[in-house]
Amino acid sequence: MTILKLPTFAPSTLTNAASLIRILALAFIAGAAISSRLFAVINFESIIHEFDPWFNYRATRVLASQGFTEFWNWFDPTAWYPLGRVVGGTIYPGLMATSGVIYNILHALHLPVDIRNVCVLLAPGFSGLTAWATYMLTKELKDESAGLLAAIFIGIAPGYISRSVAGSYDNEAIAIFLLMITFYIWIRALKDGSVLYGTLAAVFYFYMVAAWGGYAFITNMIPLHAFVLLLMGRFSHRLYSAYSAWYAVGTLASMQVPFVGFQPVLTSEHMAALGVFGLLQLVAFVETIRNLLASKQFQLMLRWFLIAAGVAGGLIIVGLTVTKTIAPWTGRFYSLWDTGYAKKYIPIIASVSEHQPTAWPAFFMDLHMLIFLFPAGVVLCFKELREEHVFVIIYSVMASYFAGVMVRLMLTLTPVVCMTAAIALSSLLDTYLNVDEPANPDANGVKETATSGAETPVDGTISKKKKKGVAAAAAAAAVTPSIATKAKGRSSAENGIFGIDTRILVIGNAIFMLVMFVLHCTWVTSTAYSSPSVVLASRRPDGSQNIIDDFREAYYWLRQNTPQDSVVMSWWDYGYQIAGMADRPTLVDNNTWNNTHIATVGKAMSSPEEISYPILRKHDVDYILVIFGGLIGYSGDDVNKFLWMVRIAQGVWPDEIKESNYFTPRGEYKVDDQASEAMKNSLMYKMSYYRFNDLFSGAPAFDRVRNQQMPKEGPKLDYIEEAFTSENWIVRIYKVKKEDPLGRDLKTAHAFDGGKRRKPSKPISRRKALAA
Amino acid sequence: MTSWMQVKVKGLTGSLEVEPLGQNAESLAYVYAINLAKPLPKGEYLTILVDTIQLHASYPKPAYASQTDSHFRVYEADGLLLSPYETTSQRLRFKAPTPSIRSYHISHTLEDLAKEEPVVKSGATVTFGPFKSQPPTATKGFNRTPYRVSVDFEMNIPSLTVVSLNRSVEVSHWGANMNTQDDYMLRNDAPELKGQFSRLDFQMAQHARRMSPVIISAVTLQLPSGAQNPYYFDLVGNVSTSAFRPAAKPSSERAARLGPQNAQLDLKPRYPLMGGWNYTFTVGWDAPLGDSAHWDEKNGRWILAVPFMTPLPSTPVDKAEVRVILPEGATDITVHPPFDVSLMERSTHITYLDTIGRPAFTFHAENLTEVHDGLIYITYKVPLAAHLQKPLAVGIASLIVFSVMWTLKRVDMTIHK
Repeated sequence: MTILKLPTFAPSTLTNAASLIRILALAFIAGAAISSRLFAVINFESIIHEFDPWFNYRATRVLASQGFTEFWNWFDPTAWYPLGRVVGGTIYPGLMATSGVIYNILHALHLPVDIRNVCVLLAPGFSGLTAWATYMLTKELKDESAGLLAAIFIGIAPGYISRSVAGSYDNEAIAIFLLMITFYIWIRALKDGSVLYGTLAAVFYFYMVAAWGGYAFITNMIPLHAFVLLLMGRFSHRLYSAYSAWYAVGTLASMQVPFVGFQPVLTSEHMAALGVFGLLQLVAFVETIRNLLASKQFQLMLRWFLIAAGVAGGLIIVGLTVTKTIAPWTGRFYSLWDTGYAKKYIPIIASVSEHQPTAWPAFFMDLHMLIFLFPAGVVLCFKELREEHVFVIIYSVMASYFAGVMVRLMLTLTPVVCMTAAIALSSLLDTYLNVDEPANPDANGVKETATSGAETPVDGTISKKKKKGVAAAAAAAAVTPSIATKAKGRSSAENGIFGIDTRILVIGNAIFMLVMFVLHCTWVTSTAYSSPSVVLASRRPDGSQNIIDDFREAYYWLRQNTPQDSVVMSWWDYGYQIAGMADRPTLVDNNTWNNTHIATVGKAMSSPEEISYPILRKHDVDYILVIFGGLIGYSGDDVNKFLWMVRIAQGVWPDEIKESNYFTPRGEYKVDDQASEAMKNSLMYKMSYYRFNDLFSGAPAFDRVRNQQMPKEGPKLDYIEEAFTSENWIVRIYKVKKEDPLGRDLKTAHAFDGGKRRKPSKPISRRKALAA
Repeated sequence: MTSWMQVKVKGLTGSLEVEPLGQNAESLAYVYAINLAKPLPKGEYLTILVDTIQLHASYPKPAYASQTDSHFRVYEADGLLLSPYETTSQRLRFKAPTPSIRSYHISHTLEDLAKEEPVVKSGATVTFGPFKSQPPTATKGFNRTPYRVSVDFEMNIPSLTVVSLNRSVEVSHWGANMNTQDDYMLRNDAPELKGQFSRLDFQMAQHARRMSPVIISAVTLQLPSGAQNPYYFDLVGNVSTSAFRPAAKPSSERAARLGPQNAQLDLKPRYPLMGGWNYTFTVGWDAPLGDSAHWDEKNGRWILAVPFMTPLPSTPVDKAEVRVILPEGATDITVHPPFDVSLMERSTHITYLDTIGRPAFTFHAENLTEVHDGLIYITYKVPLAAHLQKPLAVGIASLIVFSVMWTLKRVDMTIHK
């Protein structure tokens, strides 16, 4: 019984058409994924975004212009002045190598694309590949239609777009593709028990290790999957060969990345993979023995063997940890388990906004309706519970936890949410788009409802509601994917949906949700995730766009009008940008490897001038750069970040810098009349508000970020002088004065230049006496 | 530094031929020969006008000035003309941009040579001389030092210098387009900023409209009338503060009223250029090829006219490099630069999907001014095969890729079934 007569085609026509449509759909999905990431280019320009991408871009330029060897051995003397930085050994080179290869291929084909455009468009390009990889993986879980849904979900989900818009040239840009393709190949390897695929998974794993620090997620996910399969009693030789191939090749390959080095055998994060590898060998050994020995002997032997092996293995690991051969968990890792850990012990990690725990609305903002479909999809995975379903269940549990702990890890949750949501939605559509009606409606008592609906149209709405309930139940019953239905043939389905109205209602609702999802994604992408943050946009009163370009103005000024070797001090956030755009040495940058150096900068910023000055001179600082948003209301400025500088400095010099001194007695963070003395005397405060009062020509100055009225008397500077201020006062650059040639301290010298006499004191009277 | 020289006979149009003879070994003077159209009969006389342009002839004094100070420059010159002939009478007249002349100075030696009042200032003009008859000065023993004069005058126009200009012109017959891209390196030659830059003072001066004229906050480029799609960027990306005013369409009423006009590109550097500050940037634009290329049917050749540069008003160019990239496969090329360039090179330029590369010509020249905005004429032939080269190459490459894929798909490579 069907509700609709479908035209019939030859099976080969159907397969061919379906395959063509699939290819076309995938092509369009890749197109949608790429084009939705181009908002930033269209609204602004082809520019590298934010902070870290500026370093990656700079490194890529070195790679493209000087070749790989030169890049590999690159020592950058301008970073972390005066220490310098061994760049080749302290980065994940995968991203730069990828761009370099693409750049060289394009140039070999006589397509002289600028390296900047390669870098800007790398993330959108790889998002197309991610869509394809997600399609392949979801296809393994359910079928092609679920795969296509997953592909379009991952293509436009804001959770992934947030890290892969054009210009967001960061490791995550390629890492998510590598994550998905590695998982897909792992599943293929596991399904076939193929050593070839296991090795291929290892190759992509190596690429991932070379590209992103988040590779530890794969390093622990695959062993966890293998371990859970073991516990479920699903050990097989397929698992053994796939895992062994992946682990052996993958680990050796990953150790070739200099930044990773011997970590895979020396740190706790990697021990799970090693442990599972050993366990699998034991189990495989035991399995072999079982086939050779009688059952009783085997029991006895097994017990002793397992106890001995377990104890020995445990002792070895504990022993190695105690003797510090295996490094204990790093602080970054602890902060994943205890969200308060970083704030207490490593303020530098806590000071980064993307390391904060996720707020609930962020889940909806980044995933929209997928977050509701996600649990349904996970439940559906339990229905069949093949090996790959186990994988997805583990993945969803782990990723959900991590996404809750750190905003940044929303990124790893997004793919699994897209896959499971696609499974759920595709099951729903399979059920409701199936034109067959159940053969024997009486069996489950659905008939009454259906007929009553047909007979009494007055109760139409009520019965529809009822029907919806029934339909939902039926859907739940029929969710066992369409394979089951297909197998049974068209006419003999036991479970199914009656009537066409329910179908239209449910499918209409699903389509409505999908449309809302697309609108939401577009809106979020265009408004929230497409700002380069180097260039700011505001609206003029007439609605036209006004570009605020203060950062580049100031950086370019530094680049053009200061000596090549002048050292610029700023808070570490701007280190990479100064190196990239201004091309000047910096004290600290976004590669926050040296906490003491950062604390030194924090101390210089939060101390009074006369204490900071020796620090500045000792570090050869020529210019100091601060970000000040008080004039136009740019809230991400240095005064708002100031407490972190104080905290980090306090961590190293607890006697000299105290956070509480920077608050008012009532515990408020103020910059106005009531601001504390430490605050008012700090270099940061002085540099931010220097001559700010004069701008208001008599009227009291008003800070539009803190919404506070400034004191009448503005700060005075003796040891440094204003060198440049950008158009909207966002970037202010100060020059550090050299020591006074007459040997006076700079405060006295400045007072003298200002025409202020020193109070008459003894030396003058003595001179008078001499003259007399 | 003499950048340009033109010689005319008074009352006649057309200039006379000037032949540089180089530095004379004995007197160390640079000698030029002027060829008269016809020999001058004995006893008759002829008035010859020699125009020259000198670059970087004055220097700022004081060398440092604050943001609000007015700025003065000093011009120093020889009071006597270097000449291989006897000079019966000569005088030197200096015209300053403003009447505000702080001081002028004439050496005592020269003062004694004056026929009457040695120096007269009237308005913005200072006249030294006339002086008495002089023996030839371009001789070995002549010492110029005692004959110097100088004027210290106020400058109220920007003193900008283009330190280097790299122009690249690319011709495309398929797109019927000529793309021009200029890399500028600018320097403000006004006195260097004393102390540091204060945005507050700058904004207040801007607000009160008493900004020093030597601070440059914008420059205007006059582009050819057909210019379109202009772009303006520097090393860190697009500069959003530019405005483009296209020329009126030739058919429109405005164009009929105003006559032929240039398109204008107003460029605002990222930061105002104070004295001594540098700024580098790149501008580029497209223009229809028909505006500058002409098909000479008689000889079957293209004639291309490329402007050597787009001058900024009263701004010298210290070093210029112009590169003209012809279409791929252009043959039989002749090149005619508008003046004697110091170096001309031929190279090959490879751009999007080129197979053999395009012929390119690079012209190097130094010390240019507004009068050097002449046209480079280039004639060449492009055979039909060269036009079709690119689509054919791309077509064949795609065909190869597709057929390889097609073959691979149909070959069974499994080892056993």
